[in-house]
Amino acid sequence: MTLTKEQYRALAAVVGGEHLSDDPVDLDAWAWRSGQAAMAQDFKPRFEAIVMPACTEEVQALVRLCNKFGLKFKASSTGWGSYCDPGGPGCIMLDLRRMDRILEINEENMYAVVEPYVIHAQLQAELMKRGLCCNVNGAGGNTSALPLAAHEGIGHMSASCGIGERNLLACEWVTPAGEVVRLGSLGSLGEWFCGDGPGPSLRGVMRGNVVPLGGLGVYTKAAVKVYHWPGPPSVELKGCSPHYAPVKLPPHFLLRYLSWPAEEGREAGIRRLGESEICFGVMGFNANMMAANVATNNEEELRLTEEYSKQIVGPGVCLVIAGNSARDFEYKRRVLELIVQETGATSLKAVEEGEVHDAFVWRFIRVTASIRETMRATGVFGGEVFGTDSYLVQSNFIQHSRKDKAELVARGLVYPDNTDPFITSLEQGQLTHSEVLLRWTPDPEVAQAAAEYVAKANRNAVEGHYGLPHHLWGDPQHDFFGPHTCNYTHWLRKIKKAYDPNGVAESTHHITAAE
Amino acid sequence: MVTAEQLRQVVGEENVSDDPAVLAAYASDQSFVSRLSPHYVVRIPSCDAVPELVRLARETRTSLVPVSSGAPHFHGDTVPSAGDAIIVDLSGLKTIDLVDPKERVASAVGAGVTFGELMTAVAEHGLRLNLPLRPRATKSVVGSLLSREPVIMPHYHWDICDPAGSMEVVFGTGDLFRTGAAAGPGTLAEQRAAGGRQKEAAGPSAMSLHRLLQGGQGTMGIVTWASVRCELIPTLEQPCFVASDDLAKLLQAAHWLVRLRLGNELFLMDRVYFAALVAEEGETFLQLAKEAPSWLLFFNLGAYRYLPELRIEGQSADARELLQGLGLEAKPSLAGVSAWEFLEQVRSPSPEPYWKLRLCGGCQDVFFLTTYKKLQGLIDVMRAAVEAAGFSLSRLGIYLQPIVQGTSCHVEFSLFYDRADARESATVRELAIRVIGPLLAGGAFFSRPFGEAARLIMNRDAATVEALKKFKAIVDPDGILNPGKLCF
Repeated sequence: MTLTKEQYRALAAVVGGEHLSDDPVDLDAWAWRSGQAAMAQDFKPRFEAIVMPACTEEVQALVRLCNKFGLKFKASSTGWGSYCDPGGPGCIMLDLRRMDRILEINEENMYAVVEPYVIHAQLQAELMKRGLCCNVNGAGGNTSALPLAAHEGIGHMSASCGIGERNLLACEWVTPAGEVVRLGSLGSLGEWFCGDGPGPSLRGVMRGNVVPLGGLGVYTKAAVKVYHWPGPPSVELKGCSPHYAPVKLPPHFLLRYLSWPAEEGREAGIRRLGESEICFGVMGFNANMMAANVATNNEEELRLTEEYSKQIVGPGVCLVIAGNSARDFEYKRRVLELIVQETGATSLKAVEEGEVHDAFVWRFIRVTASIRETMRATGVFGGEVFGTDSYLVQSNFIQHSRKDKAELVARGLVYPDNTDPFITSLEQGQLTHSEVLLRWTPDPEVAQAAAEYVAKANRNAVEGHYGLPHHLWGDPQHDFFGPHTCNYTHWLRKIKKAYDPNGVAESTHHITAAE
Repeated sequence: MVTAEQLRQVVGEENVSDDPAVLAAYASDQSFVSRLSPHYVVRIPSCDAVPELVRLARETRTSLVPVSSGAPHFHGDTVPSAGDAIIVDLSGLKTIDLVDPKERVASAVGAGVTFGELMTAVAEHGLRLNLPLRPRATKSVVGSLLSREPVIMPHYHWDICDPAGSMEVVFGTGDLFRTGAAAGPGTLAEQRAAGGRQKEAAGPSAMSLHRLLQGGQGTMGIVTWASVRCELIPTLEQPCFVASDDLAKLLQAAHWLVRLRLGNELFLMDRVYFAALVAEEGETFLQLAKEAPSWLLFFNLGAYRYLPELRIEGQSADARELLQGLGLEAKPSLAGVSAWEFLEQVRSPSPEPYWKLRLCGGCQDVFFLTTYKKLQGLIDVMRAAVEAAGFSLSRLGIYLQPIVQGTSCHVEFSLFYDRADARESATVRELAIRVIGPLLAGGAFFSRPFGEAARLIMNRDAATVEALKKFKAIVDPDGILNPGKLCF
């Protein structure tokens, strides 16, 4: 299918000819898929056109045209994975890159209002100038700061700066039917401080602990909670990427990597860190993730992985402490010492001081090393992204990866990094999230093995009653879990049908209305 | 129309009542909504009975009004708006399934469990609740969560839905559903064996239906239990008052204390609200309302397991410096009331009679959310309206509660009045409605609209109303759940 002249003209009338293309060169550029969950096939189905709206009104007009013409649309901001691709023909891409403004930073009530193409690095830099900071997706500072863009919205500072689903305040939503709904105080007052009400909160329709991946319309603006930044307005850096570090780390920051001989030690450590509220950031990195954050190329990463593995005694966690004052920092530092002693943790000396430490702190906070962790080794990654609930269930579930990932490594199908699963603490230990990272060189055999790995993990989640993984994409995966999970698929489909009566919001990676 | 016999078959003989005295207790409340008696009151003996009851109501097109808390009710949401209604009394659901101190959660707390009951249960495990200011003794914890009532520790109020976890709900279709992590896979027992604690509120997947149950006033589903996020009981605390006639300064202090996480319990109030909260009899009320400073900020530093003295010492010094910079000072007592005594009062359920009714017999609240910037203007609007109505400013109490870690502020205007005085009741009733428009114009967001004002407020946002109706049609296609409330 290609667009008819009438369709093309109608789309062009909304955005202007220069912001619309159906040139095959452009379409192929948007159809190329590397990165997350890329498999053997490099090119995905083409979009029929790439359209770049500049504002909500244009988005609304485009969505209405899709309803009129029977076209599907897929909106995307910074885009990271295969879920940004169309599932088949008849779909146009709403590329939101022209909607890139920070609309407001409210210092007194601690929120920022952003459009979809504002990235975390940009927002964070502006916030730091005002003594504020924000959660940054683990995927990196390069990702959209809209708390409705990332599939989850969990990041390095989620221990102190929350997560996407819970940081969302008021927002603006162009429904698949082409209506503009302004949630909360925005709809009643034109202000952004609250996303809930009057009455029940539509936040619960728009997203859950994951987003509908474009399958329920377009989120055009949103307010996101921001938090106190205990550092200076900016930090002077020396060197050039990837060889850079702060000239001088600001006072009252400290990074440590702690490991324990067994999972029980890590559990005790993470629980105590949460209960004592001392951490600015917590990430359950393994040896290879630590190495990837420090190394500037693959060879160095392999060398450091080996070096760190010798010092790391088992499951570990990378943490940053930041003091709001000298007294606060001193208190947190001393509590950390006690937790290390009590739980028998071993600190990784290689990252404790000097330029390695200072540079790591800055990269951790700016979340610039995720690309290194995920993409550098092979250019492609994937794995398993589990849910959020208690530490216990997350930890119990994810242990299977030690065996199952090891098997893939032994078969030579995935990158031989480390089989320790990743686990992280959210909101000072109130919630826990876990993942397993796999990196591979795409070919059909790997694609098959990765799919089998995920299917096995999903069966394990059902049989072991470990909860619903976050990364469930498309009808088959949802339908696998639905009957075991209160038939949530029934209600999710009802929502899809009610708000997208013509099925125009492309839903290959969300859920379709078909029962 | 459903019959008593049909109801008895579902919930048992002893749990169905059409006794006029029982019905009368549900026909009105402390609010000014129109009086309407239900046809029956049905006490729910166990969660299992709810799906069958809803299916029966659907078959017979009977309205259901869920009620979790005991009297007195204040907002009119539990008074039927339809003539054939049945009160679904969930106050007997008293189970507290599990308290896990490591995960800081009370899992699957029955809809009838009151604050006093849950506080006692979790305290045995070293935990406490982030609760509303001095809730009434009969208030259901789940009922409070479903109303998105503001809580007194903004530090731990990450999201407006807090401290709610997973919930079990029976929709108007009769389908039972569990939100969040409780959805599954597996039964609750199977989930727990795997380590699950039903703590995650969001999900499953790309929907968070607890957010639609909250604020729904029973129009979206009947919630039978919810998990509750808990906090650790501090090992050391230091409560204090900061008083001033300059509200702007106190708001600035509140902003920084919340922002820097200096303080657990933290809120502001004027002298009338303070007096009403503290005074046990009229004379003390009058004295406090006269002598206390115009405004007070209360905050309480807390320390936990590690180095508690060092934490309190450091936070105390940081708070002192912050306050000094604003020309303010923290004090251990105010108008003869010690901060310790006050702390224990505000975080405990009120003894009977409920403190808001103690002095005058009646209390009408007008509450909304706003930003710090608009607060003073809205207070001026309310005071002007009170004066214009001929009501005494000395009986207007004001409570300001920063919520969601300071992203907005709950504002509560309490009009303490004599319910037995028909003229005063009429004045307050008219005032509470007439002031809504000016407050809306001044930047008040009525996130939780109740009673007579609800339609006026909902009508400000037609797109939201339409979107809500779409969802309502999914979960309650026959409109049997508390019809007439909000926009439904």
